[in-house]
Amino acid sequence: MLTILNPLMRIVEIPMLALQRLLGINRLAWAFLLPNLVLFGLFAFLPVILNVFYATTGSDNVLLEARPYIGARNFESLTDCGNYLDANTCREDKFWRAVFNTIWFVTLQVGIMVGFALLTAVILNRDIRARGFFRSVFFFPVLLSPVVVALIWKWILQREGVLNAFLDWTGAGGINWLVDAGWAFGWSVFISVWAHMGFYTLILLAGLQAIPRDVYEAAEMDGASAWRTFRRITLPLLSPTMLVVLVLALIKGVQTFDEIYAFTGGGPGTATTFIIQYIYERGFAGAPRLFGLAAAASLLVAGVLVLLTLAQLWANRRNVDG
Amino acid sequence: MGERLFGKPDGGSGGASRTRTGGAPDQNRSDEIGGGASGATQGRTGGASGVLDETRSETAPRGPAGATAAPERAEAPRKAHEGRDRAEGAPASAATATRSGILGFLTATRGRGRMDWTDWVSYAYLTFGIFLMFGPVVWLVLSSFKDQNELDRFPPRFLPYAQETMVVDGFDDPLPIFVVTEGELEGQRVGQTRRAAGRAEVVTQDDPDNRIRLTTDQITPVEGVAFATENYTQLFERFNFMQFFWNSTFITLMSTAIMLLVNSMAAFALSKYQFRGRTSVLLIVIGTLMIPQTVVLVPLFLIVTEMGMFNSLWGVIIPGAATPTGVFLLRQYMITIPDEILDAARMDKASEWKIFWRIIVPLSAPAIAVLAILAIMWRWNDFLWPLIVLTRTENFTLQLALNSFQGELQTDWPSLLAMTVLTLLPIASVFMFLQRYIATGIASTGGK
Amino acid sequence: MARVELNRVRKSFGDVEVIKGIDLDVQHGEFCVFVGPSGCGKSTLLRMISGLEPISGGDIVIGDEVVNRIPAADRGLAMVFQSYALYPHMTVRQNLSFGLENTQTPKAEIRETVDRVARMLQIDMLLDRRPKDLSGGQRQRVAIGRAVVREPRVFLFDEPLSNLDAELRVDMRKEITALHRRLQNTMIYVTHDQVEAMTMADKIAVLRQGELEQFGRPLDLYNRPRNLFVAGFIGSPKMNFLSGRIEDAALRLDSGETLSLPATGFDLSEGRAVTLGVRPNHLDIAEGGPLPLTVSSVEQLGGESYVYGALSDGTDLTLHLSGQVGAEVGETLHIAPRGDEIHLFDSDTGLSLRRD
Repeated sequence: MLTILNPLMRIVEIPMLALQRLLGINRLAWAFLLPNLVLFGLFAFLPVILNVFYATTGSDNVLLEARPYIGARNFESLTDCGNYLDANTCREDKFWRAVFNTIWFVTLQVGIMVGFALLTAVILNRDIRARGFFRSVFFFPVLLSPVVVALIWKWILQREGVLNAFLDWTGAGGINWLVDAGWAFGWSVFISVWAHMGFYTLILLAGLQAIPRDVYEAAEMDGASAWRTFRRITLPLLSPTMLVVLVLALIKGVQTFDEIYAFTGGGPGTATTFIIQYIYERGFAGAPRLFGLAAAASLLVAGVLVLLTLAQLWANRRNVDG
Repeated sequence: MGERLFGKPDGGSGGASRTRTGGAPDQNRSDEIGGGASGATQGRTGGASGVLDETRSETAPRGPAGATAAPERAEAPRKAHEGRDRAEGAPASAATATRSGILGFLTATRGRGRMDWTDWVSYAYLTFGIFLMFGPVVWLVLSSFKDQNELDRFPPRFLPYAQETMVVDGFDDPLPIFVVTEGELEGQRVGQTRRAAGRAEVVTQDDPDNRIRLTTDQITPVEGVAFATENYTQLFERFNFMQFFWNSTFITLMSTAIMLLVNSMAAFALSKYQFRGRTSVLLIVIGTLMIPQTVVLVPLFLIVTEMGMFNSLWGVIIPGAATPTGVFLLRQYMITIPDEILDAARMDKASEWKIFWRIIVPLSAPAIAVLAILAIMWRWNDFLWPLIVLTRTENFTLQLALNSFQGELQTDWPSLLAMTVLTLLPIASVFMFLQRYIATGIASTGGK
Repeated sequence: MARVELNRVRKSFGDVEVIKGIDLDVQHGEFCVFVGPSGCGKSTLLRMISGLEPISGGDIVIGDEVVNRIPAADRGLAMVFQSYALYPHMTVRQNLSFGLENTQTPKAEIRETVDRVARMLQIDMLLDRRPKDLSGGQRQRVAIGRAVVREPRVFLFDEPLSNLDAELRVDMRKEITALHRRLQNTMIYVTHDQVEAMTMADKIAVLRQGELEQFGRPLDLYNRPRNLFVAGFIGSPKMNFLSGRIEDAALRLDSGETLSLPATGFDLSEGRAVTLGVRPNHLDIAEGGPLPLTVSSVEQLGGESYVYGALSDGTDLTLHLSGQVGAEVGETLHIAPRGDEIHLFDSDTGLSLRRD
């Protein structure tokens, strides 16, 4: 397949060879790095700097020169609250609703997801038949696109969907799931767990398989009970992996947007509006386009994510060292 | 760009000194990516693997050095083999045989042959898993073959049904078939010609001129399993489906190709050259990991607009290609390629670019393949960024089209379901064939 | 003429000097072996000659040209690596052709050259295989073939036999020697195995800690080692060393015995602390010999025998005798160096006291 590119590569070789003569072999590394660094610079680092600019300027114009400096006013708008525990008392009540929703969502979603992922991994780690098949079963929703996940479940949960039909049949009666705020939130957590659990299961399974079997045999010789073995051997030895999984799930949880947006559109009301959706709506979906507020909120999220990423790197290092 | 590295990104310069002592992700990487050939065995730890697994071993990645592996490279596959042997276990060992049920449940061992209650619980859980994970998708696919009538039916039926029809002389259109349930014609199949106010006019196949009047409770429809393929065909007729499909495909392929080229060049530089500033570059790349696209939407939007890429597919392609995950994934693999091979190529008068293209790229093919699959998946499933950049319908990707139609076509479930299936299909088929690579790749990079 | 000349060649990694100014002159067509213990810098020196490792000082001359600044590819050299470094994704033919393709050689000529070399190295039936399908010895041949097709001015070998098992190593040793006779090229060969060096080399360069200890013909090194290190390094089993002092033109050993010394050939200043070197095969069991040796073990190989023991002060000695001996463990034998076959070194400087 690559041979069709060979003529092209031969053309690239000409300037690269000239550069090699000019720079010497080791400094040629920069020529190999350049395209990547340009991309990163333009689409990762420059945006971070500009984000600070946007967060401190006003107006609904996206062009830099048309934006007056307003200092910390965007942050003040975001944090202007009578009572921080009650979103209704805030100027940007939608922001606070999104923040509270996100906190609740992440707590529930990560807790439930990691719990079930651990259970599934423990079971898959047993001496079961067709393990590869079962692993695939739990893993495959990870590959589905968020919109597809949302539509699959919307179809099941709709008023005259198969779930309500089943409840009807049992006599429990149907519920209009996505119209009720509480149910919509609950199902959002559910489909998010459904879609992402397989990924964490895979990691935890690998962690379990890395625990040497002779440790268990030693524990058995010492007469440890099953529960004790699990508590005192499996969990501690798995804890580095657990830590990584938790941090990673948190990082992703905070950024939840796609499948919930396609699933409920953030509603009913703002019941399932999370922080990224708030940024999206303030910056791109509503009028006027409040880029400043969106950027300010982005910075706050970025701060949380940087902390979590540092925690992840630290967890990984521990994982490798210990 | 939302992808992040899972494993330790190995910021230091001495990249080769990683250990296997730790937990999952790094082990995965060193075994399945770095260790290459071992990938064939690592994942197949189960004694009896599924069919998928069996066929996959042939396509498993090979070590880059292949035959000329340096001693330390030979280490990884051997360890993986040990691991596999261990996981498959020696069922005959006395310790295992005497193990109690609960202990077995929690510690991954069980005497072979005899099923105890923990096994039943496990299999019950797994069976429920199949139902919960596959069920919704199966339901979606079945539903997508139902016509509007069948979709409106409550409670729904499992398989798609449609009323059977017959062609009767004297009628242009096929007539829906009913069976008469009472009266002198009881048991006969009739074609209904008209129906109004509780009465139906029917004819029999043999005597089309004889119009018989019956009440509607005297007849029941004859239905058979029928797949409403028109749900699919009308996608192509009524909507610009091919355009969306093409947009998605173009974005996915271009973005992946650019990312692969650019990332592998950078990974080569970072793994095989000693130059001043290498550590700084690595730190910069780690830095990009911390900034997912989701938190720089506004400035990214400005940059893309200023570059004239707003409402252009390139506005999705180029930022999508600036993903750092591949740099780490490939660097980790390229480090394991022995330097002596590069030296040999230099003695063979190969230029550095030629070394990259003719030696490094072919030898990194397994890792590049993993990255390619991941990138295709990420880009195909992308949603938020295209949602911002592509606002005109003719630019929509499949995901955007699907999302916008679910608003517009709230009642048009047949089209929506068929479209969902078609959107899911490419990924599902990739998954069928390449599940091993995907699982490996995701475990080693932390997914999207 | 592909002479290789090193003038005060130096190499440092940061503050660490690993090659400390080496002068060496390899004549055209010579087979020169760099030998030394691991970490002596021999491989680094070879890589410096190849151009893969930049030099920190001095000049490297190949042919008549200073090549210090010429990149590896343009020095007209070919190298065989320790791990063979075959391209794993290419067939044997592609491995052999790669270098020629890079020099824009016409396809027909590449084919012809590769076929000829493959026949010569008896790998012509392997041309369509990949390296992973080859045995160690076959890979070795391919690696050599890859060097040969390039028709280089100088061949460089970096411990090429160290990954082979003992038997194969002996065979390949002979083959490389035969190849050298046939091609008549200059070859530089690095090894840590002094047997390889002795059997293959026209000239041996003994290196230690980045310095050239001695450079010369194998038998010259064996017969006239310039210092204690070379004396101990060349020859197997190792040379015996006994320390003592010159008294009355004789050697009084630390163990108390006195040995008479040949009148000529050595610089014997009175009172100098010296080390006597005697190779194990130059010691004989002799009635009334000057050295009483308490036997600690005996190895009888049938055609030859090794006797290990210690002198009264604990100095270990090894004897290598032809035929079979009747020595018992615990017995005390009297032994004597054979005639003039001894070496004397200054104990302080380690240098040979032989007058040249």
